[in-house]
Amino acid sequence: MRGAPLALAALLLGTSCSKVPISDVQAGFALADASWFAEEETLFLFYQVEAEQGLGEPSVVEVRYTTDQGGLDWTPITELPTVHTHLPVDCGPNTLCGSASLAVPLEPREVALRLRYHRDGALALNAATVFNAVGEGPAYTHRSLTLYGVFDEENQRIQWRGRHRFPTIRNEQAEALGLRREFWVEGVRYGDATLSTPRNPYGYDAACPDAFSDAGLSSVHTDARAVFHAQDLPLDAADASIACGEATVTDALGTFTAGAVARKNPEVRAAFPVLRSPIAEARPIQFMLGPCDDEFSEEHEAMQRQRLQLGGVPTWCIDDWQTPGFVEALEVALSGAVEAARPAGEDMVLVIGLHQDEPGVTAAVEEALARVVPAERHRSTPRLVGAFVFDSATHGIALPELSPVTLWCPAKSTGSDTSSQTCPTMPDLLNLDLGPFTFDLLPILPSRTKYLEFLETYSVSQGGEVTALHYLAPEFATTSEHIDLGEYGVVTFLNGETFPADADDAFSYCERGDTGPIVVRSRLMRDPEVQEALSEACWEGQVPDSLCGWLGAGMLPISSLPDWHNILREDSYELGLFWEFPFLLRMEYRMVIAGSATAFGLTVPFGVGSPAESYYGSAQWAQESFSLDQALSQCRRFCDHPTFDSAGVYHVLDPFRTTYANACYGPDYPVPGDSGFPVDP
Amino acid sequence: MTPDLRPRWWALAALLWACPVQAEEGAEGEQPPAEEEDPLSPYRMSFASLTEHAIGTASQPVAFSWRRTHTHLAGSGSFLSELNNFDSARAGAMVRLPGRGSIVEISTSYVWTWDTHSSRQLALTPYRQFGRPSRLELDLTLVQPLAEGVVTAVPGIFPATQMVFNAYGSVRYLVYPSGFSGMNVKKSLAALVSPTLTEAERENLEDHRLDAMEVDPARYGLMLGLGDDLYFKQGLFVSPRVMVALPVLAPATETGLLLWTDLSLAVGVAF
Repeated sequence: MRGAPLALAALLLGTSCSKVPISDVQAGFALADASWFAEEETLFLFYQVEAEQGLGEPSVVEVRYTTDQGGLDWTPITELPTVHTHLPVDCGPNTLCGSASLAVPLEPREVALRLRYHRDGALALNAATVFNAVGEGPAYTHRSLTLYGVFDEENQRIQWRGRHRFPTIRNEQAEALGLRREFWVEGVRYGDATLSTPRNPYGYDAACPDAFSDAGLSSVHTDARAVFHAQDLPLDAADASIACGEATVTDALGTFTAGAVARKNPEVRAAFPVLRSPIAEARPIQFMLGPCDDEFSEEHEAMQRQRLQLGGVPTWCIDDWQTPGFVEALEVALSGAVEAARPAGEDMVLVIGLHQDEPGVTAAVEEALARVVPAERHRSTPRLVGAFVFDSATHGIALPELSPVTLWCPAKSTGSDTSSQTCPTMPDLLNLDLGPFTFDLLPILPSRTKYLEFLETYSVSQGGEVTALHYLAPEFATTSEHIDLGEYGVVTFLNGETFPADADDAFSYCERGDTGPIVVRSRLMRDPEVQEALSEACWEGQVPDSLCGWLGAGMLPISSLPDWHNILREDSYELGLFWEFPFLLRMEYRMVIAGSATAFGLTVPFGVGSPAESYYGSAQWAQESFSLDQALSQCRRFCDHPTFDSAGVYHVLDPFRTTYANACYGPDYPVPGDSGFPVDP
Repeated sequence: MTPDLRPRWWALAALLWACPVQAEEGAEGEQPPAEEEDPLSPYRMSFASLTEHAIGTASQPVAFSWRRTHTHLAGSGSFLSELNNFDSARAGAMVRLPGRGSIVEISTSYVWTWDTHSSRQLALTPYRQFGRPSRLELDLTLVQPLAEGVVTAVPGIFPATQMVFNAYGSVRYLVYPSGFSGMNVKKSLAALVSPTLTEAERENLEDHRLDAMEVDPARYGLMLGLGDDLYFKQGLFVSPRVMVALPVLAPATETGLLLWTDLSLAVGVAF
């Protein structure tokens, strides 16, 4: 090992004693493009050379070309006169880049670029130059600069923009390589016309109609890519869809003037900003059903009464539940209580504690409830919105008409369905045995079996207690219209929430999490003939299955409104609210983590309590309004005009009507005072 | 601290004085009584034995005692031989702080780098070579005397001088003031402790390098060397030296200049 340092020293000295080596700068062209425009008699050059190191001021890029009347031998680009302004560009410490525009009257051949490593040296690196020649033709396709206009957010002020157009170089890349074009716009007029075409989407070089009105704006001039007018359009121009002006650019021949068009932005607003559904606390109609002659578990009944806040409610005897007429008697009792409470003008909820230990009792109670509760489901306020039953054992509702309106606790767990409407018995969350210590957490609505098992180890006070119950339900107006969708739920058209639409309007739906289950209906959706035609289309598979069910009920999800309107262009639409369960139970209680310590046959219980809150039923009744401000937008004018996106990019080929039917529309408009170099890839 | 040698000098003098007496007495043929006790016999030693053993430490012959000075101030100049095609020379000033057995030097210098014919030719090609643009250099040097003594000078009109043969160990820190252009305080402080030039510094130095130069990224290096200090009696001193850069820090500094030399001459005065 002692030889290792010596060997290392020898190696170090051996490599160190030699002269410092020279290294290749590894230069290469990342870009070497040339474009000649016959209409402008101008040859544009763009280049970018990159190296690992060593490029500096002595390095130069040279150009050569040949024409029928001679040519240009290798000459540094920076020594040639240019047609346009070309700013020096800093592309980084080891990069040489830039652009040039040379006046070349005849179409050049053998256009080539190369890097001379040193302006005084003989060594050079030839580039694989890309050359394109653009012949004579329309200005919007055969010139290197397209001019167009856009409007600010208020559609009152015009910004004129230049857009570089080269065969292989993008607009912003040409700018980044130093090219600046001078242009000015004057004689702006406004009116209604369609001057853009699919081949000429910007409308450049389109003649401004003589019938247009003079806007009275002074001319604007810039060598940036965009410039705003200093004045707004006159108020008379509010209805005009476009403005146009005479745009002049410079080239090797002097100047070139053509028409430029500015189209107004689509006028978009929220179609129906907020759908309101007032929520009120329903009055509980309390019942305690249990045996009067054979009390089998006082502790459990006390717990049920505490949970449902039925402290002073007398027991409605169910000892004779097997006798004929029991169901009718219970029905009369329930109905009577409801009718007695109705004059108060509040919605009501049946709150029933069911203390029983015989399996057949629940069926009788279900039958009585089914005679009372569902019938009131679609009435307006005051009404019986539903029922809440706290049973002694887990139970699943057997009558299908009862399940949409009744919360039965504790419910039998149905696999993975643990939704708040089924009130399932949750598995033990905390059941630990740690030597002499045991811990458990009792559900706030336990079955009798679970509760009694709990009491074998712990005390009543460790089971927790309900401190408040709130039954929240929507107040339905007398004009509310309910459409029952069976097991799926109900759609309620609350109070005539209708909004108008013109035939040339366009809608945009933006999927957002806070929109809520909103549906829409219209005259044609409910028209029998239309429904029949749609039904046939559904059978033939021409309509998505997910919509066929809705169309059969004469309505559509709000997300389908833009497409519906684009096809059928109806004059009004009505919004409705879809719901599955009629009320929301908010339970406030004290949850206790129960513990006990056992030693020498003596058990000492203890617990840690904390306030908690649970919701059962339909969570949508926790809010009184459903915002549609961002979800449903309605375009009132200029809906087929191009749009700005949220990044401020002007999409000339993306009109509002088709682009944003099912996409979020959040435009970022240009603002006077911007840099003059908008994002325009 | 010089040991007290007086007892040993006295013993040697006594011995040398005693030896001729013995020879003289022997020549007269008088035999000393065999049993007569010689009180100096325990201290007698043959001359041959004496010449083979050191019997003391000579005090340093001193024409100028640099150890008794407090501060040395000097100006220095040097030529760098970096084994590339660029020429570099430097000039600066140093402060030397003598200790009991060594000297600590702190110096600052400015280095001028210029093209040679070879580097100008190299600039015309796509090749580059490691080098260093003009810069400031800070040196912290430990000077360890190895041998010293009084020496005579030629021509004889110069008085005898105190010559000290030294070994040098130095850390050299390079500062490119133009490299920090446009950097904020936080980035500049971070760059100061980096063993290599930062990307921003390299970009800034692109405008200050010679055409054929690839800027060497190292910020500091280690140097060792040998040289003399010649002290005149009045305190004036001359210090030629040869320093060699050792590439032991190259893995960290990423330098492309591995082994190079610095031939320097310092002239100063000691107080």
